[in-house]
Amino acid sequence: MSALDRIRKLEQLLAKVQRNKGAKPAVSSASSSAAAAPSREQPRPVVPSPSAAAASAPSTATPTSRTTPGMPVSSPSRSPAQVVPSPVREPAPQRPAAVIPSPSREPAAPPAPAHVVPSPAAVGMRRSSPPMMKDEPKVIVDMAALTEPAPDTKKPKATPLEMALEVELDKPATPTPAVAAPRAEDAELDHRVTGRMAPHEPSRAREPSPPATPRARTIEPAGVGQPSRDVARVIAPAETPPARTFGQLLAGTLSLRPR
Amino acid sequence: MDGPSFDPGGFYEFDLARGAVFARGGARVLVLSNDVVAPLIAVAAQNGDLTAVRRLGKQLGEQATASLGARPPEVTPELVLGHAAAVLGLFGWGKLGFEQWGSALVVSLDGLPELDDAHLAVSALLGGVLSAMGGREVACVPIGTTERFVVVDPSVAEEVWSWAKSGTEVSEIVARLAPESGP
Repeated sequence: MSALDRIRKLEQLLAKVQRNKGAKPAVSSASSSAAAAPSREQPRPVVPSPSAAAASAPSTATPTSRTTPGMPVSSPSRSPAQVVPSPVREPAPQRPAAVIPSPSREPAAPPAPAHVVPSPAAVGMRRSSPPMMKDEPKVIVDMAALTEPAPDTKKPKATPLEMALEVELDKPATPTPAVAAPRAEDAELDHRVTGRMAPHEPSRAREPSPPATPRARTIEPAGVGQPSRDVARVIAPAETPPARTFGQLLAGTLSLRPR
Repeated sequence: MDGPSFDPGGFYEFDLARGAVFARGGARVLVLSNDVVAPLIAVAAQNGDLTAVRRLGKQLGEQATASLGARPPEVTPELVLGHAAAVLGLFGWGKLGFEQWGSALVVSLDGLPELDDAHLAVSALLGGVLSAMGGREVACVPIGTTERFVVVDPSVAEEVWSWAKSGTEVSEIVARLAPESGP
Protein backbone atom coordinates (compact mmCIF):
# COMPACT_ATOMS: atom_id res chain seq x y z
CA MET A 1 0.00 0.00 0.00
CA SER A 2 1.39 3.31 -0.99
CA ALA A 3 1.54 6.36 1.18
CA LEU A 4 -1.22 7.94 -0.78
CA ASP A 5 -3.52 5.07 -0.17
CA ARG A 6 -2.74 5.19 3.48
CA ILE A 7 -3.57 8.79 3.67
CA ARG A 8 -6.84 8.25 1.89
CA LYS A 9 -7.74 5.49 4.21
CA LEU A 10 -6.95 7.64 7.18
CA GLU A 11 -9.15 10.36 5.85
CA GLN A 12 -12.00 7.99 5.35
CA LEU A 13 -11.65 6.67 8.84
CA LEU A 14 -11.50 10.11 10.24
CA ALA A 15 -14.62 11.11 8.42
CA LYS A 16 -16.38 8.04 9.61
CA VAL A 17 -15.46 8.75 13.18
CA GLN A 18 -16.72 12.27 12.85
CA ARG A 19 -20.03 11.14 11.48
CA ASN A 20 -20.44 8.65 14.26
CA LYS A 21 -19.62 11.11 16.97
CA GLY A 22 -21.63 13.98 15.47
CA ALA A 23 -19.03 16.45 16.54
CA LYS A 24 -16.18 18.16 14.83
CA PRO A 25 -12.77 16.68 15.20
CA ALA A 26 -10.03 18.35 17.03
CA VAL A 27 -8.28 19.18 13.80
CA SER A 28 -11.15 21.32 12.56
CA SER A 29 -9.32 24.55 12.80
CA ALA A 30 -10.29 27.40 10.66
CA SER A 31 -7.44 26.91 8.33
CA SER A 32 -7.83 23.19 7.99
CA SER A 33 -11.59 23.26 7.51
CA ALA A 34 -11.31 25.87 4.93
CA ALA A 35 -8.60 24.00 3.19
CA ALA A 36 -10.31 20.68 3.51
CA ALA A 37 -13.46 21.76 1.80
CA PRO A 38 -12.16 21.73 -1.68
CA SER A 39 -10.50 18.43 -1.17
CA ARG A 40 -13.67 16.66 -2.19
CA GLU A 41 -14.46 18.89 -5.10
CA GLN A 42 -12.34 20.61 -7.66
CA PRO A 43 -8.62 21.25 -7.70
CA ARG A 44 -7.70 24.37 -5.89
CA PRO A 45 -6.95 27.31 -8.05
CA VAL A 46 -3.88 28.07 -6.00
CA VAL A 47 -2.17 24.96 -7.18
CA PRO A 48 0.86 26.14 -9.04
CA SER A 49 1.55 25.33 -12.55
CA PRO A 50 2.98 21.93 -13.37
CA SER A 51 6.36 23.35 -14.04
CA ALA A 52 6.50 25.20 -10.78
CA ALA A 53 5.23 22.23 -8.86
CA ALA A 54 7.75 19.94 -10.42
CA ALA A 55 10.55 22.29 -9.64
CA SER A 56 9.62 22.73 -6.01
CA ALA A 57 8.14 19.39 -5.17
CA PRO A 58 9.97 17.45 -2.53
CA SER A 59 11.01 13.92 -3.04
CA THR A 60 7.65 12.67 -1.90
CA ALA A 61 5.80 14.62 -4.53
CA THR A 62 5.05 12.30 -7.34
CA PRO A 63 3.51 13.30 -10.64
CA THR A 64 0.18 11.97 -9.42
CA SER A 65 0.09 14.48 -6.64
CA ARG A 66 -0.58 17.25 -9.11
CA THR A 67 -3.90 15.81 -10.05
CA THR A 68 -4.86 14.76 -6.57
CA PRO A 69 -7.35 17.13 -5.09
CA GLY A 70 -6.69 18.22 -1.55
CA MET A 71 -3.26 16.83 -1.47
CA PRO A 72 -1.63 19.77 0.30
CA VAL A 73 -4.45 19.91 2.83
CA SER A 74 -3.54 16.56 4.25
CA SER A 75 -0.55 18.13 5.86
CA PRO A 76 -1.65 21.10 8.00
CA SER A 77 1.81 22.51 8.17
CA ARG A 78 1.90 23.03 4.46
CA SER A 79 -0.13 25.88 3.18
CA PRO A 80 -0.32 26.17 -0.58
CA ALA A 81 2.04 29.10 -0.62
CA GLN A 82 4.53 27.26 1.49
CA VAL A 83 4.24 23.94 -0.17
CA VAL A 84 4.86 25.26 -3.60
CA PRO A 85 7.31 28.05 -3.32
CA SER A 86 7.95 29.41 -6.72
CA PRO A 87 11.59 30.15 -7.30
CA VAL A 88 10.60 32.18 -10.25
CA ARG A 89 8.42 34.55 -8.32
CA GLU A 90 10.77 35.14 -5.48
CA PRO A 91 13.36 37.34 -7.14
CA ALA A 92 10.74 39.21 -9.07
CA PRO A 93 10.15 42.02 -6.53
CA GLN A 94 13.82 42.86 -6.53
CA ARG A 95 14.14 42.99 -10.25
CA PRO A 96 13.01 46.60 -10.79
CA ALA A 97 15.89 47.77 -8.67
CA ALA A 98 18.28 46.22 -11.10
CA VAL A 99 16.52 47.47 -14.19
CA ILE A 100 18.57 50.05 -15.99
CA PRO A 101 16.41 52.92 -17.11
CA SER A 102 16.19 53.36 -20.79
CA PRO A 103 18.21 56.18 -22.29
CA SER A 104 15.10 57.75 -23.68
CA ARG A 105 13.58 58.25 -20.28
CA GLU A 106 16.66 59.49 -18.51
CA PRO A 107 16.97 63.02 -19.93
CA ALA A 108 13.30 63.69 -19.42
CA ALA A 109 13.42 63.34 -15.66
CA PRO A 110 15.84 66.10 -14.65
CA PRO A 111 15.02 69.67 -15.67
CA ALA A 112 17.20 71.40 -18.14
CA PRO A 113 20.18 73.13 -16.60
CA ALA A 114 19.98 76.85 -16.40
CA HIS A 115 23.07 77.40 -18.48
CA VAL A 116 21.87 75.36 -21.42
CA VAL A 117 21.05 77.58 -24.36
CA PRO A 118 18.05 76.28 -26.26
CA SER A 119 18.31 75.54 -29.88
CA PRO A 120 17.27 78.23 -32.34
CA ALA A 121 14.28 76.21 -33.35
CA ALA A 122 13.13 75.97 -29.77
CA VAL A 123 13.61 79.67 -29.27
CA GLY A 124 11.64 80.42 -32.33
CA MET A 125 8.75 78.39 -31.10
CA ARG A 126 8.85 79.98 -27.70
CA ARG A 127 6.11 82.45 -28.37
CA SER A 128 3.52 79.85 -29.10
CA SER A 129 4.72 77.21 -26.66
CA PRO A 130 3.70 76.91 -23.02
CA PRO A 131 5.90 78.55 -20.38
CA MET A 132 9.20 76.82 -19.82
CA MET A 133 11.10 76.11 -16.62
CA LYS A 134 11.87 78.97 -14.34
CA ASP A 135 15.58 78.35 -14.39
CA GLU A 136 15.78 78.25 -18.11
CA PRO A 137 17.31 81.36 -19.63
CA LYS A 138 14.87 83.64 -21.34
CA VAL A 139 16.21 84.22 -24.77
CA ILE A 140 13.77 86.24 -26.78
CA VAL A 141 14.31 85.96 -30.46
CA ASP A 142 11.82 86.98 -33.03
CA MET A 143 10.47 84.15 -35.13
CA ALA A 144 10.86 86.12 -38.29
CA ALA A 145 14.54 86.63 -37.59
CA LEU A 146 15.05 82.91 -37.63
CA THR A 147 13.01 82.08 -40.64
CA GLU A 148 13.64 84.92 -43.02
CA PRO A 149 17.05 85.22 -44.57
CA ALA A 150 17.10 88.98 -44.76
CA PRO A 151 14.51 90.38 -42.37
CA ASP A 152 13.50 93.97 -42.38
CA THR A 153 13.78 94.77 -38.70
CA LYS A 154 12.78 98.37 -39.04
CA LYS A 155 9.09 97.69 -39.16
CA PRO A 156 7.55 94.28 -39.64
CA LYS A 157 4.65 93.69 -41.93
CA ALA A 158 1.90 94.38 -39.49
CA THR A 159 -1.28 93.50 -41.28
CA PRO A 160 -2.27 91.27 -44.13
CA LEU A 161 -3.11 94.26 -46.22
CA GLU A 162 0.34 95.70 -45.83
CA MET A 163 1.94 92.46 -46.83
CA ALA A 164 -0.42 92.05 -49.71
CA LEU A 165 0.55 95.41 -51.00
CA GLU A 166 4.29 94.84 -50.67
CA VAL A 167 4.63 98.32 -49.34
CA GLU A 168 7.61 99.70 -47.56
CA LEU A 169 5.78 101.13 -44.61
CA ASP A 170 8.80 102.64 -42.99
CA LYS A 171 9.27 104.82 -45.99
CA PRO A 172 7.80 108.24 -45.29
CA ALA A 173 4.92 109.34 -47.38
CA THR A 174 6.58 111.74 -49.75
CA PRO A 175 4.85 113.59 -52.51
CA THR A 176 5.09 111.77 -55.75
CA PRO A 177 6.33 113.83 -58.64
CA ALA A 178 3.72 112.37 -60.92
CA VAL A 179 0.92 114.17 -59.16
CA ALA A 180 2.44 117.58 -59.72
CA ALA A 181 1.26 117.86 -63.30
CA PRO A 182 -2.49 117.44 -62.84
CA ARG A 183 -2.55 119.60 -59.74
CA ALA A 184 -4.54 122.45 -61.21
CA GLU A 185 -6.98 120.16 -62.86
CA ASP A 186 -7.44 118.11 -59.75
CA ALA A 187 -8.26 121.20 -57.80
CA GLU A 188 -10.75 122.17 -60.38
CA LEU A 189 -12.32 118.73 -60.38
CA ASP A 190 -12.50 118.68 -56.67
CA HIS A 191 -14.12 122.03 -56.71
CA ARG A 192 -16.74 120.79 -59.07
CA VAL A 193 -17.42 117.71 -57.02
CA THR A 194 -17.53 119.13 -53.56
CA GLY A 195 -18.42 122.71 -54.32
CA ARG A 196 -16.18 123.92 -51.54
CA MET A 197 -12.87 124.72 -53.08
CA ALA A 198 -12.05 127.22 -55.68
CA PRO A 199 -9.45 126.32 -58.28
CA HIS A 200 -5.89 127.22 -57.27
CA GLU A 201 -7.09 128.42 -53.91
CA PRO A 202 -4.08 128.20 -51.60
CA SER A 203 -5.93 127.57 -48.33
CA ARG A 204 -8.41 125.05 -49.56
CA ALA A 205 -7.12 122.27 -47.34
CA ARG A 206 -7.99 124.28 -44.23
CA GLU A 207 -11.66 124.50 -44.97
CA PRO A 208 -13.51 123.58 -41.77
CA SER A 209 -16.78 122.61 -43.34
CA PRO A 210 -17.27 118.92 -44.11
CA PRO A 211 -17.04 118.01 -47.75
CA ALA A 212 -20.07 117.18 -49.72
CA THR A 213 -20.55 113.61 -50.76
CA PRO A 214 -19.16 113.11 -54.24
CA ARG A 215 -20.95 111.18 -56.83
CA ALA A 216 -19.57 108.81 -59.35
CA ARG A 217 -19.54 108.32 -63.04
CA THR A 218 -18.96 104.95 -64.56
CA ILE A 219 -16.39 104.43 -67.22
CA GLU A 220 -17.47 102.35 -70.12
CA PRO A 221 -15.01 99.80 -71.39
CA ALA A 222 -13.76 100.07 -74.90
CA GLY A 223 -11.88 97.85 -77.23
CA VAL A 224 -14.00 94.83 -76.48
CA GLY A 225 -15.91 93.10 -79.19
CA GLN A 226 -19.16 93.11 -77.31
CA PRO A 227 -19.26 96.01 -74.91
CA SER A 228 -21.72 95.39 -72.17
CA ARG A 229 -24.13 98.20 -71.69
CA ASP A 230 -24.84 97.49 -68.05
CA VAL A 231 -21.28 98.45 -67.21
CA ALA A 232 -22.04 101.84 -68.64
CA ARG A 233 -24.91 102.43 -66.27
CA VAL A 234 -24.70 105.85 -64.78
CA ILE A 235 -24.64 105.80 -61.03
CA ALA A 236 -24.94 109.54 -60.88
CA PRO A 237 -24.51 112.33 -63.31
CA ALA A 238 -20.90 112.86 -63.99
CA GLU A 239 -19.77 115.94 -62.19
CA THR A 240 -16.16 115.74 -63.10
CA PRO A 241 -14.81 115.67 -66.58
CA PRO A 242 -13.52 112.27 -67.49
CA ALA A 243 -9.83 111.73 -67.41
CA ARG A 244 -8.35 111.84 -70.85
CA THR A 245 -5.83 109.09 -70.23
CA PHE A 246 -5.48 106.23 -67.84
CA GLY A 247 -2.27 107.73 -66.55
CA GLN A 248 -4.08 110.91 -65.69
CA LEU A 249 -6.79 109.01 -63.90
CA LEU A 250 -4.25 107.01 -61.97
CA ALA A 251 -2.22 110.05 -61.03
CA GLY A 252 -5.32 111.75 -59.72
CA THR A 253 -6.34 108.94 -57.43
CA LEU A 254 -2.80 108.35 -56.20
CA SER A 255 -2.48 111.97 -55.22
CA LEU A 256 -5.28 111.68 -52.70
CA ARG A 257 -4.39 111.91 -49.06
CA PRO A 258 -6.49 111.98 -45.91
CA ARG A 259 -7.68 115.45 -45.17
CA MET B 1 -12.62 104.97 -77.97
CA ASP B 2 -10.38 104.01 -80.82
CA GLY B 3 -7.98 101.22 -80.16
CA PRO B 4 -7.33 97.61 -80.73
CA SER B 5 -10.12 95.40 -79.56
CA PHE B 6 -9.37 92.50 -77.34
CA ASP B 7 -9.59 89.17 -79.10
CA PRO B 8 -10.48 86.39 -76.69
CA GLY B 9 -10.25 83.75 -79.38
CA GLY B 10 -7.42 81.33 -78.94
CA PHE B 11 -6.49 82.75 -75.59
CA TYR B 12 -6.01 79.30 -74.15
CA GLU B 13 -4.10 76.49 -75.74
CA PHE B 14 -4.99 73.03 -74.54
CA ASP B 15 -2.12 70.67 -75.20
CA LEU B 16 -3.70 67.32 -74.53
CA ALA B 17 -0.61 65.39 -75.64
CA ARG B 18 1.45 67.03 -72.92
CA GLY B 19 -1.43 67.43 -70.53
CA ALA B 20 -0.88 71.15 -70.15
CA VAL B 21 -2.83 74.35 -70.61
CA PHE B 22 -1.12 77.53 -71.73
CA ALA B 23 -2.44 81.06 -71.75
CA ARG B 24 -1.65 83.57 -74.40
CA GLY B 25 1.99 84.44 -74.08
CA GLY B 26 3.04 80.91 -73.20
CA ALA B 27 2.44 80.98 -69.47
CA ARG B 28 1.30 77.59 -68.22
CA VAL B 29 -1.87 77.79 -66.16
CA LEU B 30 -3.75 75.36 -63.97
CA VAL B 31 -7.49 75.02 -63.99
CA LEU B 32 -8.55 74.80 -60.39
CA SER B 33 -11.86 74.70 -58.66
CA ASN B 34 -12.92 77.68 -56.63
CA ASP B 35 -13.48 75.39 -53.68
CA VAL B 36 -9.88 74.29 -53.84
CA VAL B 37 -8.34 77.71 -54.20
CA ALA B 38 -10.48 79.41 -51.57
CA PRO B 39 -9.05 77.65 -48.50
CA LEU B 40 -5.52 78.16 -49.77
CA ILE B 41 -6.16 81.85 -50.24
CA ALA B 42 -7.79 82.08 -46.84
CA VAL B 43 -4.73 80.60 -45.17
CA ALA B 44 -2.48 82.95 -47.09
CA ALA B 45 -4.60 85.91 -46.06
CA GLN B 46 -4.48 84.85 -42.42
CA ASN B 47 -0.72 84.57 -42.61
CA GLY B 48 -0.54 87.98 -44.23
CA ASP B 49 1.26 86.79 -47.30
CA LEU B 50 -0.66 87.42 -50.51
CA THR B 51 2.34 88.20 -52.64
CA ALA B 52 1.59 85.24 -54.88
CA VAL B 53 -1.86 86.61 -55.66
CA ARG B 54 -0.44 90.04 -56.33
CA ARG B 55 2.13 88.46 -58.61
CA LEU B 56 -0.68 86.78 -60.50
CA GLY B 57 -2.37 90.14 -60.84
CA LYS B 58 0.76 91.61 -62.33
CA GLN B 59 0.91 88.79 -64.84
CA LEU B 60 -2.67 89.47 -65.84
CA GLY B 61 -1.90 93.16 -66.14
CA GLU B 62 1.05 92.40 -68.38
CA GLN B 63 -1.16 90.28 -70.58
CA ALA B 64 -3.70 93.06 -70.84
CA THR B 65 -0.93 95.49 -71.69
CA ALA B 66 0.39 93.15 -74.35
CA SER B 67 -3.04 92.89 -75.95
CA LEU B 68 -3.41 96.64 -75.77
CA GLY B 69 -0.40 97.23 -77.96
CA ALA B 70 0.36 100.56 -76.29
CA ARG B 71 1.41 101.98 -72.97
CA PRO B 72 -1.69 101.98 -70.80
CA PRO B 73 -1.03 105.37 -69.16
CA GLU B 74 -1.13 106.96 -72.57
CA VAL B 75 -4.45 105.59 -73.75
CA THR B 76 -7.94 106.25 -72.56
CA PRO B 77 -9.29 104.70 -69.38
CA GLU B 78 -12.02 103.06 -71.40
CA LEU B 79 -9.51 101.19 -73.51
CA VAL B 80 -7.51 100.07 -70.50
CA LEU B 81 -10.68 98.92 -68.80
CA GLY B 82 -11.76 96.95 -71.83
CA HIS B 83 -8.59 94.92 -72.04
CA ALA B 84 -8.13 94.49 -68.33
CA ALA B 85 -11.73 93.38 -67.91
CA ALA B 86 -11.37 90.88 -70.71
CA VAL B 87 -8.27 89.28 -69.23
CA LEU B 88 -9.72 89.16 -65.73
CA GLY B 89 -12.92 87.67 -67.07
CA LEU B 90 -11.06 85.00 -68.96
CA PHE B 91 -9.36 83.95 -65.75
CA GLY B 92 -12.68 83.89 -63.93
CA TRP B 93 -12.08 86.72 -61.50
CA GLY B 94 -15.30 88.58 -62.20
CA LYS B 95 -16.43 91.56 -64.19
CA LEU B 96 -14.17 94.57 -63.87
CA GLY B 97 -15.47 98.10 -63.81
CA PHE B 98 -14.07 101.58 -63.26
CA GLU B 99 -15.84 104.36 -61.43
CA GLN B 100 -14.52 107.87 -61.10
CA TRP B 101 -15.49 109.56 -57.86
CA GLY B 102 -14.08 113.04 -58.20
CA SER B 103 -10.39 112.40 -58.50
CA ALA B 104 -10.65 108.98 -56.94
CA LEU B 105 -10.69 105.83 -59.00
CA VAL B 106 -12.93 103.12 -57.60
CA VAL B 107 -12.63 99.67 -59.10
CA SER B 108 -15.54 97.29 -58.99
CA LEU B 109 -15.43 93.58 -59.59
CA ASP B 110 -18.88 92.12 -59.93
CA GLY B 111 -19.19 88.41 -59.30
CA LEU B 112 -15.79 88.09 -57.71
CA PRO B 113 -14.90 84.75 -56.18
CA GLU B 114 -15.53 84.47 -52.48
CA LEU B 115 -12.05 83.63 -51.30
CA ASP B 116 -11.80 85.48 -48.01
CA ASP B 117 -14.26 87.58 -46.09
CA ALA B 118 -12.36 90.84 -46.39
CA HIS B 119 -11.66 90.44 -50.11
CA LEU B 120 -7.97 90.83 -49.44
CA ALA B 121 -7.04 88.33 -52.09
CA VAL B 122 -8.95 90.20 -54.77
CA SER B 123 -7.49 93.40 -53.41
CA ALA B 124 -4.00 92.05 -53.92
CA LEU B 125 -4.91 90.81 -57.39
CA LEU B 126 -6.34 94.12 -58.53
CA GLY B 127 -3.40 95.96 -57.06
CA GLY B 128 -1.11 93.81 -59.15
CA VAL B 129 -3.13 94.38 -62.30
CA LEU B 130 -3.23 98.15 -61.98
CA SER B 131 0.39 98.35 -60.86
CA ALA B 132 1.50 96.47 -63.94
CA MET B 133 -0.63 98.53 -66.25
CA GLY B 134 0.00 101.89 -64.59
CA GLY B 135 3.72 101.50 -64.23
CA ARG B 136 3.71 102.34 -60.54
CA GLU B 137 2.71 100.66 -57.34
CA VAL B 138 -0.88 101.18 -56.34
CA ALA B 139 -3.08 99.78 -53.61
CA CYS B 140 -6.65 98.66 -53.94
CA VAL B 141 -8.41 98.93 -50.60
CA PRO B 142 -11.53 96.82 -50.21
CA ILE B 143 -14.60 98.71 -49.08
CA GLY B 144 -16.18 96.48 -46.49
CA THR B 145 -17.82 93.43 -47.95
CA THR B 146 -18.81 95.18 -51.13
CA GLU B 147 -17.26 94.49 -54.47
CA ARG B 148 -15.63 97.90 -54.67
CA PHE B 149 -12.03 98.89 -54.13
CA VAL B 150 -10.59 102.36 -53.77
CA VAL B 151 -7.35 102.87 -55.64
CA VAL B 152 -4.96 104.89 -53.51
CA ASP B 153 -1.30 105.36 -52.92
CA PRO B 154 0.14 102.51 -50.82
CA SER B 155 1.28 104.94 -48.16
CA VAL B 156 -2.30 105.81 -47.23
CA ALA B 157 -3.83 102.39 -47.82
CA GLU B 158 -3.72 101.38 -44.19
CA GLU B 159 -5.62 104.43 -43.02
CA VAL B 160 -8.19 104.13 -45.76
CA TRP B 161 -8.65 100.49 -44.90
CA SER B 162 -9.30 101.38 -41.27
CA TRP B 163 -12.12 103.62 -42.44
CA ALA B 164 -13.54 100.89 -44.60
CA LYS B 165 -13.40 98.34 -41.81
CA SER B 166 -15.34 100.65 -39.56
CA GLY B 167 -18.22 100.63 -42.02
CA THR B 168 -17.55 103.85 -43.88
CA GLU B 169 -19.09 103.85 -47.31
CA VAL B 170 -17.24 104.63 -50.47
CA SER B 171 -18.74 108.08 -50.87
CA GLU B 172 -17.65 109.13 -47.42
CA ILE B 173 -14.21 107.61 -47.90
CA VAL B 174 -13.74 109.62 -51.06
CA ALA B 175 -14.97 112.72 -49.28
CA ARG B 176 -12.30 112.26 -46.62
CA LEU B 177 -9.60 112.30 -49.26
CA ALA B 178 -8.19 115.36 -50.91
CA PRO B 179 -5.48 115.83 -53.49
CA GLU B 180 -2.11 116.23 -51.95
CA SER B 181 -1.05 119.85 -51.73
CA GLY B 182 2.06 120.70 -53.63
CA PRO B 183 5.33 121.79 -52.07
